[in-house]
Amino acid sequence: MRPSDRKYTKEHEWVLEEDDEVTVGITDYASEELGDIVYLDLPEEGVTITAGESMGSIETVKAVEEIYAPASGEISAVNGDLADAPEKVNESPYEDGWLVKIRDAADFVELMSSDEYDGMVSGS
Amino acid sequence: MGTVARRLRWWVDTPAPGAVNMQRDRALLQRAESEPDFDPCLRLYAWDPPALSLGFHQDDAEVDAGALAAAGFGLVRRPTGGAAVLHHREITYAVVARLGVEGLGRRVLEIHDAIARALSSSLIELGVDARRGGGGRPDGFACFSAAGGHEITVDGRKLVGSALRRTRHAFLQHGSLLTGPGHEQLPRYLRGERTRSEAGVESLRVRTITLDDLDAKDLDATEWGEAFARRLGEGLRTGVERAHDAEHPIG
Repeated sequence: MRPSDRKYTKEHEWVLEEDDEVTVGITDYASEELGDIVYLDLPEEGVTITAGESMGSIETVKAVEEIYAPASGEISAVNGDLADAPEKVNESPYEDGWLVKIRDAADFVELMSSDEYDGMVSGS
Repeated sequence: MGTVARRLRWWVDTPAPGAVNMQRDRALLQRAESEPDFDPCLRLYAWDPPALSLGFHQDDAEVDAGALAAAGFGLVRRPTGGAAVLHHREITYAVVARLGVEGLGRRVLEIHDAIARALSSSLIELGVDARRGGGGRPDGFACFSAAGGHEITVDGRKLVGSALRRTRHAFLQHGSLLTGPGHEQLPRYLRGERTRSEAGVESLRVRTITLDDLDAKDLDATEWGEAFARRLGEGLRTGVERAHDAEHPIG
């Protein structure tokens, strides 16, 4: 069961809105598909990001790909633990493996409920 | 089910410096990303002069740029992940396609599997006893220090190393088929491994195998490219078309 307290994107990210911040991570489906994560290139605090555009990249033992911003806004926090332990994303994608927090998030890309996301990945 | 490609195009490109080679691969990926009717393609190429390529996230501070320059070798960063490669005597390939093409798929493992099947069957057809790799991962900075499950080995030694970049709508998977010695000299151009470069060279030598070792030294890019493209085309269930060739053969 994927957490139902958050929304999901077609790019296999999750967003959790809390107060004035949005926390972003990648889903268990993405982390399993990509394999063991060896490096994360995440935006720095204070950087302005644009919905739908690349905000960093992720490297696993099998591939490199972009991390897309699920909304426009300002990066208010980055999960610093991942610099030394990127495997946390594989081990705990919805908790310890969160990537960044966005302040004043707006212009969200298309978001899905957990049920809708389940349906999307089970059909792929 | 994916979209059946109209055709697979392949060609042997002009040997080029590292920066040009990686720019050509990036340009193909960008075209595939932006053009919905992009035909899957296979580009074969060589490096002139030889060059050290770093994985997308590798630290260039580990490279001894002075030693590379003194040897006349280039240095370039790949758009793909993975570890460093000294491209010396090898035939390099790049497969670029839209995600979701029938026979290549869109998931990381689907893409690697489809290409590994074509790699191994084309080499077997040409008399090389190629097998899928063993699920290892590089030990340190060098790509050829271990073979992943999607890579190609002979007698447990790595013959083809490959790496993937996936964008929103497309992918680039490129790799190196070792044709002769040279690649194993990589540790001589790395700072961190310099003090143990002899051991590092020997380690790469015993973990890898080349076409020279396999009495297949006459296999050139055109002959292999023809077989590789045909095997890829079979997987894609589409026809294969040879596109413009370079003026200079590579091998």
